[in-house]
Amino acid sequence: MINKSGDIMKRWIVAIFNAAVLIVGITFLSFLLVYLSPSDPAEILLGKSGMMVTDEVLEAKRQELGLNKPMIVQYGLWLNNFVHGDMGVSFKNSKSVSQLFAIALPNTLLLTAVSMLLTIIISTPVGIISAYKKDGITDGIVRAVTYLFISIPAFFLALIFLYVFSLKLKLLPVVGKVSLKGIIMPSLVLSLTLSAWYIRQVRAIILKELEAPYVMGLRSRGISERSILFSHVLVCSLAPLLTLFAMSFGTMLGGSAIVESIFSWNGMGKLAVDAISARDYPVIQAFVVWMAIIFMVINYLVDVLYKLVDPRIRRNLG
Amino acid sequence: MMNFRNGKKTGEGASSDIRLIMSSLAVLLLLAICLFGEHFLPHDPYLVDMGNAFLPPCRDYIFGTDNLGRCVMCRIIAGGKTSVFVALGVVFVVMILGTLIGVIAGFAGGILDNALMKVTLVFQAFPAFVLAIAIGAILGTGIIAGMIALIAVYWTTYARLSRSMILAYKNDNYIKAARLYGASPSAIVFKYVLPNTLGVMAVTAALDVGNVILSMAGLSFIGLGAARPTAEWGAVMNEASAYFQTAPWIIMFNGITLFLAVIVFNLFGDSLRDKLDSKRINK
Amino acid sequence: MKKKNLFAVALATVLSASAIAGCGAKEEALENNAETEVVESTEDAAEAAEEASEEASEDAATETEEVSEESSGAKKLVAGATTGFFGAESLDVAYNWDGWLMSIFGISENLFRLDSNFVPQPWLVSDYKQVDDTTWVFTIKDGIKFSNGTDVTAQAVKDCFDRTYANNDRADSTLSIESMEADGQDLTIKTTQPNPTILNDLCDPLLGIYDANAEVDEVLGVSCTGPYVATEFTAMSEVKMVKNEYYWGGEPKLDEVELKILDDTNALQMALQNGEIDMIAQLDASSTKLFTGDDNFVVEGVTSTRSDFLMYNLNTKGLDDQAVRYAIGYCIDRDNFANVVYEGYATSSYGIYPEGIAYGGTDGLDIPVDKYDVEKAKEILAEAGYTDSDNDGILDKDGEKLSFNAITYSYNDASIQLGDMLQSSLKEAGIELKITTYDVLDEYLADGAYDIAILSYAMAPTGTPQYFVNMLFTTGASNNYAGYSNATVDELAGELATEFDTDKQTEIAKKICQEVVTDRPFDFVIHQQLICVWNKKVSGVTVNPTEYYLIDANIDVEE
Repeated sequence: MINKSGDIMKRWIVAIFNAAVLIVGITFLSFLLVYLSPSDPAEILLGKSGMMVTDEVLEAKRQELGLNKPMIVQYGLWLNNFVHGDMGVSFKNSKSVSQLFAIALPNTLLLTAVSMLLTIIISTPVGIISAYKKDGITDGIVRAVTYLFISIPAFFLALIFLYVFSLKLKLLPVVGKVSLKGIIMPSLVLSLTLSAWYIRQVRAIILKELEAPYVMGLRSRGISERSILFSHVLVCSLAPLLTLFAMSFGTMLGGSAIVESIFSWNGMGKLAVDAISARDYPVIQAFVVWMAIIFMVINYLVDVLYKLVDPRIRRNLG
Repeated sequence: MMNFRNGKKTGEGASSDIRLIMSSLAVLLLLAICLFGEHFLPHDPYLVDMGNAFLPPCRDYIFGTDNLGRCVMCRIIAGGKTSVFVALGVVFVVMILGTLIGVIAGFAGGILDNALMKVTLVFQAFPAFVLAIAIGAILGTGIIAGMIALIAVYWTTYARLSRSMILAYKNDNYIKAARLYGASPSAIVFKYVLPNTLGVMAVTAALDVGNVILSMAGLSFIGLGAARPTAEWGAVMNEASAYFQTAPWIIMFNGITLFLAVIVFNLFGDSLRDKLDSKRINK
Repeated sequence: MKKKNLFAVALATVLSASAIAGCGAKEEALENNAETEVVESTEDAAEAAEEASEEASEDAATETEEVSEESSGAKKLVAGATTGFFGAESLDVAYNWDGWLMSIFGISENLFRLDSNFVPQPWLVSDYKQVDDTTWVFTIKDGIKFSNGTDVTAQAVKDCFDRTYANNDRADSTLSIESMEADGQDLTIKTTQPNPTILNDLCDPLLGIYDANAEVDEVLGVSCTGPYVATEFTAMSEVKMVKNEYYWGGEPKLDEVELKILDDTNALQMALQNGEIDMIAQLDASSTKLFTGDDNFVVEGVTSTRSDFLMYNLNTKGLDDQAVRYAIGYCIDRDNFANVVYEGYATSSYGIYPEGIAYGGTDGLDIPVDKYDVEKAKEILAEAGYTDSDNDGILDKDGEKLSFNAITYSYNDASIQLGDMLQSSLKEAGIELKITTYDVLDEYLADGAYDIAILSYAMAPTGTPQYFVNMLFTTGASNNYAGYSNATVDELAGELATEFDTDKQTEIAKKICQEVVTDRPFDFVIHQQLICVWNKKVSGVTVNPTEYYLIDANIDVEE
């Protein structure tokens, strides 16, 4: 018993150590983003204020911003500020990045949550049906359609959607206000491209389960297909499905950048894409850190859930 | 029951052979068009002809002309060379680099393995496209910058995959046997392990080409990656999106070509994987 | 339950473990923060979701409300533009460039206003006189109130300028003031030196008039005298306004104005087509085609002073030869650039300044390049001794090839297209051009790391010739990256600085133009138009070429 809890302790310590490495890695890489960027923040900030930029002023500003310190010290300072909610000041509009993100972050989370939900709602049943009807007509159609959506660039699909649903059919607004109507198109584009991928994975997972010996055993015992599916196959597939979910969340966070900017959805992605054209490094940096942190947290949550749902793992732990 | 399954597999094997051949042919055709198409173009893809700007598809210009009177089809073909070969280049580099790192980590074990895997973890901690944006933003616009950004995103898969394969082989009996007979570690790697690993890597790589093309186009579309006047597909679509309504053919033909190219590579990758899977099962 | 506890323990240990990992308390705090913030933000997301659904139902409600409002006569204009035209960071005239945007919004007004010929006209002043070379007296109109109800007196204007000069370094270079005195409605301004352009300078929106004695609202900024007053403001995103109850120039026709930033060209166009906005300010010329053929929309363009031009690096071998610069001039297809790329919303330039300005156009100028003629360019190059000695299609002389690097803005569609066009026609003439784009050019220009720069500048924002002459044409001028130096130009610029007589100013400016056109260190290609498009139910819009004004009391919307 003691031994066992010691094992668990050890496992957690390893996990925690990994998390720490990850966090240092993420923040350090993101810090490098601005550190290595070709621009000089001191010059940009001064240029913005409309002042005459002399070398002395520039030097003083660099001192003030700590840009003369060694890299590792700068990293420490930056991290310290970041932790205290100070993510720097946007080069583009002199607003603090935290202020900008306070508005954008909830919007992005909302969009990704809705899109994720849509993806699951669309792809889980379709994937299951496709697996059950393997090599049938339905399966063929599903596979062909998913192929199309996997291969289409999201921005292209987004433009076509705008054209068809807003301009031609006049069903939905062009400008994605944070509203029920406004979220339809961006979330649909995000979830359609992702669903295509997701359906294929769901299909593969279910197929694998269906071919497992225990399913054959259940069938031979005359247990109904429905009960096999819901009480056994789905339960056993839950764990890999969850992993899938975590992975696709990353894809979605990345994809939201393009989709948000096309649909004028005021989220982090749009902020980041706007920042790219303005080379507004503090905003890009904060975007990168936040996306990574969100992704990491989702991964950890899924990890925990994974252990809760998978009967095999649960048994081992218990 | 078992017989039935095997029979089905063989049947599938035949059809998967056909699919593999067909998709290989499609890939070859695509590559040939990208490589040699330039010499057979009816117009110079960079020649500006303002008198013929915004021509809809017609006999002389079957895909129409763009905002500067350049032939859209010629630019698609010229751009294909960039888009497709940039993607192939990225995939080639990540395959070599990632496999190498994975093999080193797998064989070395210990601290080196641990450190390399931590680095891999950190890179994977970023949502893929977000990492590409971050690195693209540091390096600025340009094809090389875009390629580096994508390499940074894609190498981790290969590192982890090859490492896990190495670990599996390490415990494999015939490697153990080879060791017993005094074969040097490098000889083991080159003679036994790499050939086996490379097959899996090749399939993964084939499956990645389409994704890399899409990611590069996405980067160029948001203003990173290839910059104009390079005729790269994403960059051209970025430019053409301004004429989305007035001259839809520019972006449409580019988009459709990009779409078809990705499908071709995906089909090829899929059938290659099926082939490998069925081989493994038969083994 | 057990698992939950485990997770909590895990979170706690993550924090301490990271300290063990050797990176100190900072990470600890970071993780602490990161974890809690993420938890918060998921809560936020849930809240946002709730809000969104609430808003959605609200939206439906307001939509029906709007209909009834409209029938009861509440008039609302919704206009869109890109960040460049609507992107205010604050609503404080003295902050950075925000005065300019507030002037566009119809919130702030100046003592003088530029008319469509760039001539200053009295706005908030009823009368003015020049006492001596450096002393001017301005009489502020009676009965003008700030939007908070306070009277606009000479003292208020003085206080306003005092604050602006204290807060914005650009003010002093706009108009250098020695001292000010206020007496009732009379404001006396003493300039540091004779200033012939003081009236133009007073048109700069940085010198917009606001109530400096009232407290500045954190969000809604300062109180001004314009027809509209902000009620809601989100930096770089949108501003909502209502009519100013105290407006001095007659009742504003609209009840509400909403201005929003949409940076995606397609979204902007479609929003107008879809009726989500009524107007686009500063429309991209390439998008005009969508609206020109459509009876539901009005497109209007006026020639501004913004010009697309080439700057030659005179230190580059080959470009130091006037003949080569003339030849390049003949290879620029100005008419097609103006008519195709700009869809006709630009005018070809063979001189320097646009026609609308007194010293602009080509009248009275002896212009060396007057058309697009690649054959002529070939002749000039042949005469100057350039031949293709190695048959590679690129001309050379004394072993130097005519091969140049052009740089331009990565985000400016038009200038990249000009580069593409030039590349193509120069190739025909035997000159090679490579194009590189950058987000920020200044650094490359200042370092001379270019041969030809394709640029786009406003040449006379307040209508004065001094501005651009002192920025580009004089020896060592701030943006004279060409390395151009002409003693005659320098001397004429000196004369211009102290000349009060407008006719004589024009005469001197014309002489400078002649020098520059002949020397050709810069080649002015086209003059852009400022384009606005609106739904035909909008009326009373005046598109002013200065880019300083847009929303005014006359704009109306009919249902």
